[in-house]
Amino acid sequence: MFGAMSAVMFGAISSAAAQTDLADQIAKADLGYGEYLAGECVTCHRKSGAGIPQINGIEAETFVIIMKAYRSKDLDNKVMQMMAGRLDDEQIISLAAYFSSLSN
Amino acid sequence: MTSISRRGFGGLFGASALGLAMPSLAFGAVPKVVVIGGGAGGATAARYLAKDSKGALDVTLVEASKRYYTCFYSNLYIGGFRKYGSIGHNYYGLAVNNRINVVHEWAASVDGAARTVNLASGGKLSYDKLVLSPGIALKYDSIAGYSPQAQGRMPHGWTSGTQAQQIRNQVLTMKKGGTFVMMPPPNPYRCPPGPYERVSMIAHLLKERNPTAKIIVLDPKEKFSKMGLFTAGWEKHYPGMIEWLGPDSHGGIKSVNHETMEIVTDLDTFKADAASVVPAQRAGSIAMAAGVTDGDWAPIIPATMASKADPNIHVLGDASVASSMPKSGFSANSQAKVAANAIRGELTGSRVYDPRFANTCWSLIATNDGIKVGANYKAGSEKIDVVDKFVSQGGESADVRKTTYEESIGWYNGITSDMFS
Repeated sequence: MFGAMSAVMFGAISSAAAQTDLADQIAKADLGYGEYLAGECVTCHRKSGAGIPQINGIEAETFVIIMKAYRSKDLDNKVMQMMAGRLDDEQIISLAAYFSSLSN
Repeated sequence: MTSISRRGFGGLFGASALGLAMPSLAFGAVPKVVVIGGGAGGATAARYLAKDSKGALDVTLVEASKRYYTCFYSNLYIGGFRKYGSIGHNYYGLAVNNRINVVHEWAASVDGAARTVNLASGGKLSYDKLVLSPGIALKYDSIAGYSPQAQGRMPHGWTSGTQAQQIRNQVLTMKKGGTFVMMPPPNPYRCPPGPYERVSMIAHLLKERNPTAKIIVLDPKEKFSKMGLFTAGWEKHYPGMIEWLGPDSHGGIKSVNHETMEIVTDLDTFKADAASVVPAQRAGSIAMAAGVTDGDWAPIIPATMASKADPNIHVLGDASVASSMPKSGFSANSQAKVAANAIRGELTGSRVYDPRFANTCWSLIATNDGIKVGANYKAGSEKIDVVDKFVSQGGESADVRKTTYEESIGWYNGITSDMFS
């Protein structure tokens, strides 16, 4: 709720600054923590295959946007809403850093 | 600050465990972990222990079968949605890619004091940590008249492989207009939606080949997993074919006879042309032999999956008492990662993160009609507690159900890759 409100209130002001901030956080993220958390993802997501998207090598910023949209239930998938639902921003960023570091 | 407290397990196990575990290890020796059982729990645990420790642990996997047929998707094989070969997997990836010592033998007993595993062949393995992931054993005597000798004609099909082939063969060769009797097990058991997905898959096969045949479900339970979704699906896709009877209707199951193919209940006797009888279950025998069970299952400490009876033994999957988590391949895979993380932390001093668990069970009712139920969990002090959960809704669009089925195919490929690659 706060995320949605802040996006509405401040989103227009400084998207460039927010992007720099996100890139900075991704660069500083804990890859080891991301790898540990990724254990929950790779039960379903694999390097190739149909039915579930491949996320190795995904662009980090895209990953963050998508995961936050599942968390806020703006994107539709019950499993992903639940999995994203208990990730905080730092955890999402750690995962983004980890998956974006892999080759696809 | 948040991250430090959340990852505080590192301090908890890292420091105390180093003090406890390290002195028992000879200087320079690589700590040994033995994993018994090469299914969703054991294969995943062995792979994560080996992969993440990068040679700092000596990992041995004991699994009698050289080829593992998954229980998950064995119903889809029965229904004709999968080829038999596609649910079989070997241990090449674990042995070669992950350098795990794969031993294709039966583990006969565990000496917890000496920290050794005795193999049925007479060989012996020593360990610093032991992971038990033996799955279930069937309590044949839970149904009068049922036995290993009866299971050829009344296959349980609860351990996949040949038993699943026998069920498919029975359905394909059943007389026109015949009766298939399905007897689901009492709680708790492996794969809660499994019996009802099986009924769906048998109905799918019969609708194509033997549309006047009937399926009678003699259930020892009053209700079951995803009951509303399954029964609505049966009415939609297989009207008039499936009759589900709970204890209120049959009065209780008395006995089965595989020679006459009769199932006797308190109120009636049912004559089957083909049948699948699934008895009650307990932890796999090696868990009993290791002395880590209390009754039929092995109690565990949620944060590490360590046995409450022996801190050097971790129990995963169906054999464990994982409280809120269902006995499923997904659950076992999730628990394996928690245990592997804790074991590595204790034996090598690696960071131990907050334990987190998840499960989703997908089931197929008919072509492109998939449903799912799932939850994620955290480690409470006594139990694994639900954080959040979901279930498919009645009346979902055909598109949603098709996407759910396709998602399950992705999951199958994902989890088997996570276990065996």
